[in-house]
Amino acid sequence: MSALPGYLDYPKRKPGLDHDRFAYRNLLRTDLPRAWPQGAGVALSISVYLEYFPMDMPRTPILPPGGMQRPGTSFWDYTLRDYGNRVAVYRLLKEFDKAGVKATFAVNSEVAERYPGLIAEITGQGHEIAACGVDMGQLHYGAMDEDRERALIAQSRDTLARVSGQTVAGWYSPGNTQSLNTQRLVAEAGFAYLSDWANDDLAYPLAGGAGQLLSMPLNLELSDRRFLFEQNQPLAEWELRCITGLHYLGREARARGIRQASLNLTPWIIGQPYRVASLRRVLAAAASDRNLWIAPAAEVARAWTEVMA
Amino acid sequence: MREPNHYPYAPWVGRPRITWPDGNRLAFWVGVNIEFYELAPPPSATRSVWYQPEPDITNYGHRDYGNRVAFERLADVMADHGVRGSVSLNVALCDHLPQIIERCCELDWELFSHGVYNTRYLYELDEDEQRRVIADCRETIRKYSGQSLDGWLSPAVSNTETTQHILAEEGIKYTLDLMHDDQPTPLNVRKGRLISLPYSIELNDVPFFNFRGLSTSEYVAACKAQCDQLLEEGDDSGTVMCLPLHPYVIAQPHRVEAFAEILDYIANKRGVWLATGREIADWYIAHHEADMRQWLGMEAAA
Repeated sequence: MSALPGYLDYPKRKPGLDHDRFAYRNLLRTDLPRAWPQGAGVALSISVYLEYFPMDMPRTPILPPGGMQRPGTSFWDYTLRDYGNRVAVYRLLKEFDKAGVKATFAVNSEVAERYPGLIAEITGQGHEIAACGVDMGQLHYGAMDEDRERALIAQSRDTLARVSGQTVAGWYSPGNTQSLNTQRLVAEAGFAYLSDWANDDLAYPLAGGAGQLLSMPLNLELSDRRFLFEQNQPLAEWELRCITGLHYLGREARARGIRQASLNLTPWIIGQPYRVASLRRVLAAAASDRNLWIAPAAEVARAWTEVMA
Repeated sequence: MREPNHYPYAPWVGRPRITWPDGNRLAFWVGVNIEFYELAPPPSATRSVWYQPEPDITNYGHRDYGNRVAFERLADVMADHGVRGSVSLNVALCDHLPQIIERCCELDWELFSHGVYNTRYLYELDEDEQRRVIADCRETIRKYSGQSLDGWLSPAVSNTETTQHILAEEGIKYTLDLMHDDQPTPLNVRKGRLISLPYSIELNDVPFFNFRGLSTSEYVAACKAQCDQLLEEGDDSGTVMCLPLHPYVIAQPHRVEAFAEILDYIANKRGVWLATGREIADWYIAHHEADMRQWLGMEAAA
């Protein structure tokens, strides 16, 4: 057997990365301010995914994490996810209120269409609404049609802006999947930040579009979906790792410059009655850390622009 | 029946005794996988490269964290503990991100080859093509570090039945592609010589955390227990423990202190030789390979 023609050619083997979506930066070797404008070394943004999984969602080419698992008609899958939008999200709102923190809700626009009262509750409590596509059956992937994707992005943004009354600044790709064009289309649609890349502990600029689009950190490893739902790690371990990570970044920030942390939550997972006390303790630990500034992602993105200018 | 056919069966008990320098019983080394994944690699006939239709931003991003953030964090922890790394290197990284290689050289780390990119497999390569890859790795490592290419872990552990033979013919001293032992062993190759060093795949952070979803607390316990057991067995004959790590996994903010705890535990144990892959291979070849070959009934090394 022999390799396909060109398999040992490396046309992109040169200084820098092998694509033009963003530039390389070595975070620990970068001169950075020692504090955010608010005085803390670490900015924490909490992102809550509000999703609608259609009963008849396609399972190809990608079944998103948390997508329908059981064969046939699965009331189990559908209703358990819907539980997040009926019950668990209110539990999270109560915990955020008790801890005195404001979060970012990354919302499928279908959730806003169906449950405008939920969106009003969230905005009324001072949280941010960001866009997370239309619904979990309409993912952005591979070489999908560009016009269709542009329309999905506009539909998500316009619906969420109309229902929430907010300027929607953030984009979270549903299921954390992108097409070849997503980044450019999100930039062209005027978003201020995108939060899909789990590759940094501080925001950085993304290429594409007229204005500046920031990549805001995503904590993949400690997301409840990966840690608790996919990996079945112990809940006590999740709590321990969340707090350990925040404290570590706090010390690193004092020594080497500002950092960001992210907590990515899914109501139907972390908002189960037996799990929510762990979230409460993580929030309490975060809220009592004076080196930690907890703010919605859009606010952190604005502060980034200010301190990194 | 297809088999690797690279080693005769050797029971764990009764082998010729291995002793490590200064009377140590356990040779400990850290294999640091410094990798470069292409966002849009060429397809392979044997496996899909990414897990989702490209661009697989979730998995690319997770790995990209290593070179952007976690490598320097891991390097600091290792330097603090006086432990040098042996780098399982996708050599194209030298061209893409030379500052990472500079830091490795400053720290006196060994560089060995993990192929050109972690997204270019050996699977479909014929022998000449594999030789081209090896030559590329040898020349790139020499150009950026002045080091000789002595060790090999196939990129993404993509094995072919001819690779180990070619490695020997190309003058590579040790391979990490075989997981059959807790001591170095001589391998059967058609020409030249090659030894296998233990790579301790069960402690590799990628399968441990990413594939099996085990916890950091379990990892700390596993690494300490592995050290204790192999150190005890090292009373009879010297053993090898490897920590095969990836910065993007082990040096996450929520996990890097666990790594420091593991190094604290192992590096301070009496009887532990803090070595590199090359040092273990050189010692074994100089002091033990001939006895083992004779005991196994293998021909003397050429």
